[in-house]
Amino acid sequence: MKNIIRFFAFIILIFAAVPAHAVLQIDITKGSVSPMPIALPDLVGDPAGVQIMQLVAADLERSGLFKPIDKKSFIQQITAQNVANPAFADWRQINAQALATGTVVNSGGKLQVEFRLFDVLAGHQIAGKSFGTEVVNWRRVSHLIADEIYKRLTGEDGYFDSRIIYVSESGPGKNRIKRLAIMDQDGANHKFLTDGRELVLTPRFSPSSQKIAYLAYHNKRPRVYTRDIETGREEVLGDFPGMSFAPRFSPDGAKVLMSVSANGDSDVYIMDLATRAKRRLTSNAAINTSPSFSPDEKKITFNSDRGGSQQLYTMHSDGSNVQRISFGEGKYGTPVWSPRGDLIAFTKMHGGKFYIGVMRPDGSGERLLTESYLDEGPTWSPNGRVIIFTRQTPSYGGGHGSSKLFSIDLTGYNEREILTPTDASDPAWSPLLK
Amino acid sequence: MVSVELLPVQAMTNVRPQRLEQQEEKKEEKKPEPPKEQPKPEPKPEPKPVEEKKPAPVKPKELEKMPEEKKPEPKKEKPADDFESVLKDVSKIKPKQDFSKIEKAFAEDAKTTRKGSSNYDPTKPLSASEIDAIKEQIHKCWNIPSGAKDAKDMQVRVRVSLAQDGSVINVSIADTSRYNGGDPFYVSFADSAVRAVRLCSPLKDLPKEKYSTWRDIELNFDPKEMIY
Repeated sequence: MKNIIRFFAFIILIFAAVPAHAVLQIDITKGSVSPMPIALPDLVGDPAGVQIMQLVAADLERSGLFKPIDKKSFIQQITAQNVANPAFADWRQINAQALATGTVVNSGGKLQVEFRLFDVLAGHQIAGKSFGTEVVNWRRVSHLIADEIYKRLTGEDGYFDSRIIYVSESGPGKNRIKRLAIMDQDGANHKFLTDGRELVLTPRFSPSSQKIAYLAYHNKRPRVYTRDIETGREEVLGDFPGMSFAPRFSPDGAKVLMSVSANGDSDVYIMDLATRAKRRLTSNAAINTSPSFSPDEKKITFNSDRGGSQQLYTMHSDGSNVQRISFGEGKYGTPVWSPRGDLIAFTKMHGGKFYIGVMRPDGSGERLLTESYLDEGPTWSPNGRVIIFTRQTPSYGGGHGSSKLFSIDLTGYNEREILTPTDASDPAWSPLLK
Repeated sequence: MVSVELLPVQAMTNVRPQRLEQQEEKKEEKKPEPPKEQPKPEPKPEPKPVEEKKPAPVKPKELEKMPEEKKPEPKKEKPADDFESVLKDVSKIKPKQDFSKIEKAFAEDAKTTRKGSSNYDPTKPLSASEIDAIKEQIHKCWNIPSGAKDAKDMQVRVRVSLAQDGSVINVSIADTSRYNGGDPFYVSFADSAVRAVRLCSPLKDLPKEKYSTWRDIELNFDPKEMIY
């Protein structure tokens, strides 16, 4: 019995002692936002390793979240012997916080690439993958490595193994030639998909990223088409009496949302791609357009002038429960639901200027990321972190102003031009390639 | 018609760390801890239970209160400040790019912080300004993962053991089950906090005579006031 009492006394003592050892607690509520210094030495083995790491560095640098360290400052040379156990002190000394090393073997046109990511300060490996592919496919391997590094260090999926489709514009004002063009996210592998004889607008990717929907003026009749990117096969989507436009795939790829106009009004329709069954989701005397699904397909955002001026709305995907979400000054258009689900990007027009902005799906937290003479048509990166949009600059002294693609991080920083061979508009970012 | 082929990339197998990892971990944990921690902690814990029992009720309360009391006042006002959030809004930034405002805010912050430090006792807790000195150092070392989804709701508690010269002997994440739970954003967020502590080693301007107070500290990384 005494022992039991003693035991309890002991327990009580232990608990009583806890507060005495309470550790000093400090709240850290501020920090800085700066790119992380990362060392990316050439992959060891084949000369392709130099190019691969250059591309990885370019991807990471462009994100604005990483600062690849100049190779000239490297102290340790990575070799086949130390590729898996680098001398962390040497990398700490040049202020690297992360380090990626790897090997590449080229045997008969096949590349075998292996890479490892290290936390330099902690001194251990935090990620590693190997990839096998054809030599000609080396760019994709580079993007996949960049995606892995991005994912491990930011906690979000990457977006480098993806493509951008857009409308290429060339020629003088009235005879402007518009062609669909596609390129890798970094501008490589640029190709024209159409020859420019017919006007094409608003291309949008299906989630498979092998199919697109867009508006084309075949025989001067504007209608929505789909096209298989690989084969080039084109199909008209539904035969509506009026004009159909502003297509967008559902996240599962089985349906397409679009607008159909009649008698000066337009309404949002949904079409099942397998059965071709179509259904009208809005019905009032107003222009309802630019529909975009939430990633869970439960809701649709669109813009409408039903209240007098053009504003953003959401509704359930069956058309019920319509709610206005934009209440700021000016007009709002082209809402696009983030693939991450947390934000809706839009174009805003106010006071003679255009803005690209984001707000939460309930309309709160509106934030304007860019501002110019004419910014419009946002499209999200597959991870919902970056937005690409069209920026037009006015022409001074007649002629056509220029139209270019720009990207902006959703924090509002890291605005960059996306280089294209011609003028460009209407970009759409693909999902991650498979 | 132009065809755009997509070539496959096969087999994405995981590349495991080579043997070294275990050795490394052992090295890091064994080396620093025994030489510095054991000689000091052991003699001290004995005399201290007596000493510490008295200040105990005072110490934790004061320390916890001080930062908490300060927060609501200057910080809730700050969202109005254009530069407080790391998320940019062109509509807010444009009209007034006024840095004097921020400086003022910081100055006021510092004032209010120091007010609370009048009743400190050299043998006991760190003063508010001493705590601020630690905070400021960590602020500079911490790279906030700002644009991530729900970043404002993230929070991570990190345990830090310090040597007498302020250098970091050990850093660990308090909530290991969450860290191992597989949420990649929590992992990278927690890593960013640990990295900040390592980058800041050695912490400077720590009062030597109060080593027992700051030998072990817990840092709560919480960016919600910068991301909203």
